[in-house]
Amino acid sequence: MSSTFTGLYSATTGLYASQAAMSVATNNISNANTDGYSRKTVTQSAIGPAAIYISSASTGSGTEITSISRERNALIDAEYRNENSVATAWETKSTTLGELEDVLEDISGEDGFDTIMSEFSTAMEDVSTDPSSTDARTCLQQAGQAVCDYLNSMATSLSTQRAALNDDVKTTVSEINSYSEQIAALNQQIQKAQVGGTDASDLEDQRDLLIDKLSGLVNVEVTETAAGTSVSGGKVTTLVISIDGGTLVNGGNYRTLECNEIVDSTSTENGMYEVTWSDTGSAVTPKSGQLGALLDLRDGTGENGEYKGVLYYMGQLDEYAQIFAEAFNEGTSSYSGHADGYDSNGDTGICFFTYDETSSSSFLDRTSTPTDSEVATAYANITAANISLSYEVLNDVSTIAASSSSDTTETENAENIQGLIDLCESKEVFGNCSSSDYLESMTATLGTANSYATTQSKRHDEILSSVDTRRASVSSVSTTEETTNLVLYQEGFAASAKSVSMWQEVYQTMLDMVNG
Amino acid sequence: MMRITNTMMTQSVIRNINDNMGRLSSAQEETSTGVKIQEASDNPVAATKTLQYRSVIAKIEQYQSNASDAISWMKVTSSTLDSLTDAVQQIRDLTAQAAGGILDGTELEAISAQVSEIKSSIGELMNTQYAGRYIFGGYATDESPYDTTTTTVTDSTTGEATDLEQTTFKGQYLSLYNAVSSSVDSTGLVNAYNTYASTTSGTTTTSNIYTSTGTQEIKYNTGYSSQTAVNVEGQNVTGTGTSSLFDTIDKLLLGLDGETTYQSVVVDSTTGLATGTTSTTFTLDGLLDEIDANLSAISTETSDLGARMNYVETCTSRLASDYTTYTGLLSSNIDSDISVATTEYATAQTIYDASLSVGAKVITKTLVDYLT
Repeated sequence: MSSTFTGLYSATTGLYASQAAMSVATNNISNANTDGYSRKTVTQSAIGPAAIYISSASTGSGTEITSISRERNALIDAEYRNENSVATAWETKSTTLGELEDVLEDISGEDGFDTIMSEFSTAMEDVSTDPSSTDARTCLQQAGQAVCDYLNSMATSLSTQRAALNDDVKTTVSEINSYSEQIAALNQQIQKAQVGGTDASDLEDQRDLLIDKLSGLVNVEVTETAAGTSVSGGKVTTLVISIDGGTLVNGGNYRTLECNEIVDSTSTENGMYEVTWSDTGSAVTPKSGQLGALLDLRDGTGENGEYKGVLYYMGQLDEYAQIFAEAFNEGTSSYSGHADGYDSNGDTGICFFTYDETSSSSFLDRTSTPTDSEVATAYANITAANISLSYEVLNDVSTIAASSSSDTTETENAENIQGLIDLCESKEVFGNCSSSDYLESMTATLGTANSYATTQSKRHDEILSSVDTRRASVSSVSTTEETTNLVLYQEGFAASAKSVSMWQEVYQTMLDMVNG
Repeated sequence: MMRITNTMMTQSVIRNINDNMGRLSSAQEETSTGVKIQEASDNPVAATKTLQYRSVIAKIEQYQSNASDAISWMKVTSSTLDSLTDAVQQIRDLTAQAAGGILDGTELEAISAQVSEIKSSIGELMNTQYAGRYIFGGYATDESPYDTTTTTVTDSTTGEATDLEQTTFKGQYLSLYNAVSSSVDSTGLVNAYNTYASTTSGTTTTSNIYTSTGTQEIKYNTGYSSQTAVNVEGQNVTGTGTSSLFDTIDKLLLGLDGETTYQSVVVDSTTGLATGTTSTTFTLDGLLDEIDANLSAISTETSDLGARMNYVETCTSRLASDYTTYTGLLSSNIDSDISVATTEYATAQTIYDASLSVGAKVITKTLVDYLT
């Protein structure tokens, strides 16, 4: 036989339990739209007999809320973070390559590089049919200038892009540092709460949100290691976050990254930021996340399996400028070049393209036949950013070498320019592809890279939302569910309240019995 | 079974509406721009083809322009050669008339005057220009190729000076003293030849007698790997040296004057100097053969030119059909089919509307609306 007041006590526990459950449901409903909030669920269990020695039938001792747990699946979280790094990386690549495409090409319109080269070719044809005409020569000079201007402005745009990517690297690094500081602070608070046995759910929600954001910036590995037991017997854990093999956050301690400008004129990364750990100075080379993508885009040369970043396209343009200028000026194995021809004044050895408007003689000395290495050294100076017409051609269109003979009476001699037209069409210019082949292949490479990046970005975005959906399925609040729970627990509360009244009446009756 | 929450439903609705908006946006872009590819990443292969086709079309347009310039030049040349043939034919007729032997002195003088007239008109014809360029001068189109200069022969015995006109081609004598009257003093002639034949300045000696130094063809690109020479070189038409048309006419003039011999200088091939003169007998009848040879040279050039003109015409029509082909290919590659694009747009619009209306219904109702 149990105690007299067990009934009342049971009913009261019912009231407490219902009230607690309703609070939890209310809290869930209030936080239904909070970012990163994980719903809480109530575990209610019946209270067993006070002593295990009673052998007679037990009527139970009421109920209690044994735990209010935070619904969160750490495995899904880990999957989400991995996927987020990859998806953000592809998105960054897709956006940047899209910007590059806008700069470098014009497929639907008529202002692309291919149009400029076509106009250059047309201008050469006009000179070949009327070599003594100043108008035709001026048009050729203008067309040549347009080619140089285009290459110059492309090179500038790409440099600007690269500088912007560099700034983005710096911004990303400071964001990472900010997150790691915040996460470390939260770690400290959470551990204190765990030790004391208090609920740290909200802090954990905040921390998980920050780690999600961090995973977008750089790929992270998160491990929670046991650090002991709390006063009430619960676990105490330490959260460790590492990037690129190095520890970023360890419990309440965090390390920072810093950006140092590289000063090395032989390196392709001269002037760019190097990302290192502040304390050890060793380099950080993330494989994924926004930081990884930015570094690939900024420094990738396309060689040795590297990503084809901005540097690759800058290199392609520089190579184009250099090789085209050399082929046009000096000729190839089957064709003679501009310097081999004679201008209207019977002079030879004039370069059409040089850099920074230098004159032909200061560019390459021809008083004695230049050796192959002298020629190579001279042309190594030309880049897409500095290619220009030579000083002579810029100032006097009669120096365009259309003729193949020094006899100035041969005003209609256009054999040299005919040869130049054939040279531009031939495959000897770039080894085994013509000038237009080279440009088309550059466009195709960029187009394919961007198309691939966009497809990958979409695919990983979909995977990410699917993982997010699964996470939401576990952790997010369903107002329908909570409202139902509210109704349920309200009924429970009403029933418990009713039973309290009933037991009150019973005790009253009992007292009346005694009093007579 | 998976648990579905309001948040998941809302996010899913937002994501799908966003996707539909994306589809609608690209359909709209295609219809308003009229092109299927905005950037190479939309379709890299088609983009590369577009660039190739565009450059081919630009080249074809240039070739077409070159071909029409070529035809214009060649037409002018052709009509000039026709006029030249007529003039030489006229000379032949006059020669035949004179050779008949039935004309008297006055009539012969009249014919002589006519022949001189025709000779100067031939000189004008050979200096025809097209768009400010002399067509028979090879590469030297700035200066008139044919001219006459006066040379003086001093009689070695009497000291009398005789003027002889010689035709020059590009500033050099087409032929020097190959058909001179026998009345001119031969020693004086030799001396005069040696004076005029070359010019010495310092240690360099340049010959003043024209010799052909290879062809000077003005070539136009009239198609892929196809060039056409548009000009006819003067020296091929009039001949040089002893077969020069002008020498034939000079001999004719001598004959009409009543002479039966003409003298020409003998040149030592090693020194280039004249060593003496030879006298050749001729008849007006015999000159007819020489005139026929000249006519034959002109006719060769005319038919060669005609063949080239035909070739350029063929090129022109082939270029026109190539142009149609490539513009068609370019269009099918890059232009969007309006009916397909508008249908896609309409479909995208419908789907977008549907997703909006259904989404709205789904996210507004919760259990709370039904609890009293």
